[in-house]
Amino acid sequence: MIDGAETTQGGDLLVLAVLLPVAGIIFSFVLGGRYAERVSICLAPLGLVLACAVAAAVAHAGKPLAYAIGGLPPPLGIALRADGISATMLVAVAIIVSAAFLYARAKFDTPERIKETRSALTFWILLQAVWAGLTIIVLGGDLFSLYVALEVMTFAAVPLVCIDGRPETLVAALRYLLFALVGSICYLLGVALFYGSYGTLDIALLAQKAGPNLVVWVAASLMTAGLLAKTALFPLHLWLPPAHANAPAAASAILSGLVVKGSFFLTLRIWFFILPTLPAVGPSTVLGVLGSIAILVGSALALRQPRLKLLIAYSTVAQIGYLFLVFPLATGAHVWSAIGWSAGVMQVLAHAFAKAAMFFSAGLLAESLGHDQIGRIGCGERRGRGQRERPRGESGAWRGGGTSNGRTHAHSPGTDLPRTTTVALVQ
Amino acid sequence: MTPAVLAALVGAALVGLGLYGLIVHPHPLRKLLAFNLVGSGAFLVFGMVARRGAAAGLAFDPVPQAMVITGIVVAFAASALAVALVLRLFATSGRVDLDPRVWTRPDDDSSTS
Repeated sequence: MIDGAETTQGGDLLVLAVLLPVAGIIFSFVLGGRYAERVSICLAPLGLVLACAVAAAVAHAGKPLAYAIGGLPPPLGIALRADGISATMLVAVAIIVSAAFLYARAKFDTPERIKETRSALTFWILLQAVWAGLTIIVLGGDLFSLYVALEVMTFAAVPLVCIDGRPETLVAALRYLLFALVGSICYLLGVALFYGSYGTLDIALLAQKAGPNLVVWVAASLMTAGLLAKTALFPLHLWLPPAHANAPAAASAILSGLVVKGSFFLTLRIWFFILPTLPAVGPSTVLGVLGSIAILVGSALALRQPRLKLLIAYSTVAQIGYLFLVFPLATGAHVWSAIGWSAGVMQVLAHAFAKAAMFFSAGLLAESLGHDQIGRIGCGERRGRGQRERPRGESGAWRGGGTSNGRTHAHSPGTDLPRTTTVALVQ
Repeated sequence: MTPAVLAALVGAALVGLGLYGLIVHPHPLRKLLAFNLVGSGAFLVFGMVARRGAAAGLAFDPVPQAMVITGIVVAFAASALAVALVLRLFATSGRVDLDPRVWTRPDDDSSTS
């Protein structure tokens, strides 16, 4: 038993929660081929149980859980922490990841009679890596570990976008990667400034030390700007719609429901946990205004989209705007601040679940119809099915050879969906 | 002006130059080079932080140096991933263009040729 001064009762659960997806990635690599899927499917329920156990422990203890890695408490070592919002996010992540794993089996499963494919193996490993990154983001107690977790998540999310290998998905992935890189390097610069000023990166210690001075303002602005690029708040949202609309449906659900929440969660951490003492009326107003513009622009653009998945992706842009309204609502010590904070967390959860469900439904619809053009979903459905349905082996996906007929990637089991189901999904 | 301050200012200038390059250059490879410039600037700032934040008795603070190494590895991996994407994009479509308008039209002629 590790005897760290900072480790609390139940802190071991946090280590297990981080280890589980990472172990899944390693096992998937080692066993390879068709086992990646089985490892993922086996680990997801365990992760859910573990997340619920962490949430129960936090609720029972009534204070944050902590685990000092290696028995070294924070000024020297790094800590994992789980407070109320981390535990909530952890459960949400586990539920949506489990749902995505089950959903993705329809497209990326590799039963014994089918040849193993590279895209399936990559898909399962990347999805687990996104899960691992998100887990570390919600549990990490140190700004630099959070940077590493952010990068793990991004590097797993970018290839998920272009797993089809079509040119437009590659462009979407490249744009996503470039935005994310700028974001992460700005964040890293802010981390350097924080360390230079206070000699520590631990969130709890920084919260005690950080005061309103120029370096803190510059560092917080750099980190926030970087995280906004990763969260796709209004002026930096350009990468999001093509990236989220072109990924496979299960990956879209994770990207749109959870990955953008990862960087949003870090923004919350910076402003509400590290710098709660700062007079943050100015920054929170800026964030609130950007969020409001995002709501209007995102919704207006969403209504003009010809494709269902693009519509849902633009709706994510608008919903991210709603997320940022938590900053003007919950900053400061007003009577409504606590309600504003709860509403913000509620919106994070509501959007995560709703958006994942939307992408799952849109994916089913696209699989069964062979397209997701909104104009043709209602009336021209039968004609569309006859013309577009061209089932194709998964193995060509990564070679990139099948671009001419791979545009509408129909999947044979999906086409058996009864007509009533698709109609119900449209409504 | 001590050499440390000078080096830190050079780091800040590199960050600025890199961000400028990232914004004005449309080609992804140039954007990638600009990103690496920003990265170099950030790492230089980190190096100077290691020098300034040195605790009593140590010539250098080793923690920021460890962070810089991690940062360099991450930037290297990111650059490799981006170059791989650019190469794959060129191999599948014959051009490298980030303009979304090029890709929204269904243009089967170019992808089959």
